[in-house]
Amino acid sequence: MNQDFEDIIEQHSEMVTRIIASYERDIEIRKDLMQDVFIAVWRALPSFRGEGELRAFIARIARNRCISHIAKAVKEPQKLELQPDLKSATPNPEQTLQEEQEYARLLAAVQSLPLQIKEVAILALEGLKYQEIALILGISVNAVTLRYKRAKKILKKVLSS
Amino acid sequence: MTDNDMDALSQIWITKKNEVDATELKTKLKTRINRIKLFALMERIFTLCAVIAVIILMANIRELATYILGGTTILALIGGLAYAEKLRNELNTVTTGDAHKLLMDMTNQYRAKIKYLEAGIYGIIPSTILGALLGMFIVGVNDNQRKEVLTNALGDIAGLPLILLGGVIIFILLGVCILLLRRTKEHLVHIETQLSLNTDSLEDE
Repeated sequence: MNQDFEDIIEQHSEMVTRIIASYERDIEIRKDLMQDVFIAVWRALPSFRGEGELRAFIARIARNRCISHIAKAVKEPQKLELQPDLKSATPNPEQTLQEEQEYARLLAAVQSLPLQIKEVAILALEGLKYQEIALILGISVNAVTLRYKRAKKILKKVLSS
Repeated sequence: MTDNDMDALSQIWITKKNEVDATELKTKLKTRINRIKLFALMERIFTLCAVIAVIILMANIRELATYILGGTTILALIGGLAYAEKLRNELNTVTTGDAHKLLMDMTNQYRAKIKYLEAGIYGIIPSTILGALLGMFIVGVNDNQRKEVLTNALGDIAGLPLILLGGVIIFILLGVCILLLRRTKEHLVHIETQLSLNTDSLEDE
């Protein structure tokens, strides 16, 4: 593992953590998924031609891994589900309780979105542009705009209730 | 909801930090990447040996080809056996602990590892048979004796005990590997049952 890849882990692990958290509730599975995503990034890096932003490239890999994970989980028999752990495993002392609660509420709202809308919402919240989201999801910019509007509408409804 | 509201949500969203310590993640990734590299190297060596064996087979030096193919297969099996044993030992160490979280983590990881190992071991059987058939076919084509190849091979009195011995060793090793895997799997089921019981009792409380 070279220094460049270690830098990539440092820079993008938080984004990957958030994307994974939107798809999977179990913290232990999330940790495994985190490793899987970065292994996939490591494998895919030689094919990255630098056409877009590296952040979008990694977000795309993370999203694809999460979708594969969901597809597998649906096929597997249901197991005993532990309480979803929405708190950070390594709490940051600077993070206030209020911030954590706000995040947990937002995460729950995002998790409740229909999959297609959720995908757009997650990437938009990560600050990616419409064009980048369209590229990651393989859909048109118009479709992104439409789904983004629906996401805002549902989020508003859920968060205000 | 306006774009400003979404920006505010985005600010809340990015407050979420890492769930795994970056150093811990790097260490785990380093181990996995090294393992992937090692497997890739082994795969290349195995493929190279197979190619060399086929070339030698085509040149009709059957015994040497048999030694190379047999040797690499046995080495791969011993590797699989050692890995299965390592997994079982690690698992035994883990079950002596009582950390619920760690166990959940480990059972998930071991399930994945066992799946890969099983696929590898079960993959050896058809690939060995296919390789042998292909080898015989190539020899047959070269000799223009396609139908007589098997008879010749079995009729080779000097070679037969060696072939039989190799076959017996391979099947014993395969058997041990599969047995170890089954035991490890049973172990996992046992741990999971224990975990479910613990969780149930916690919920009851």
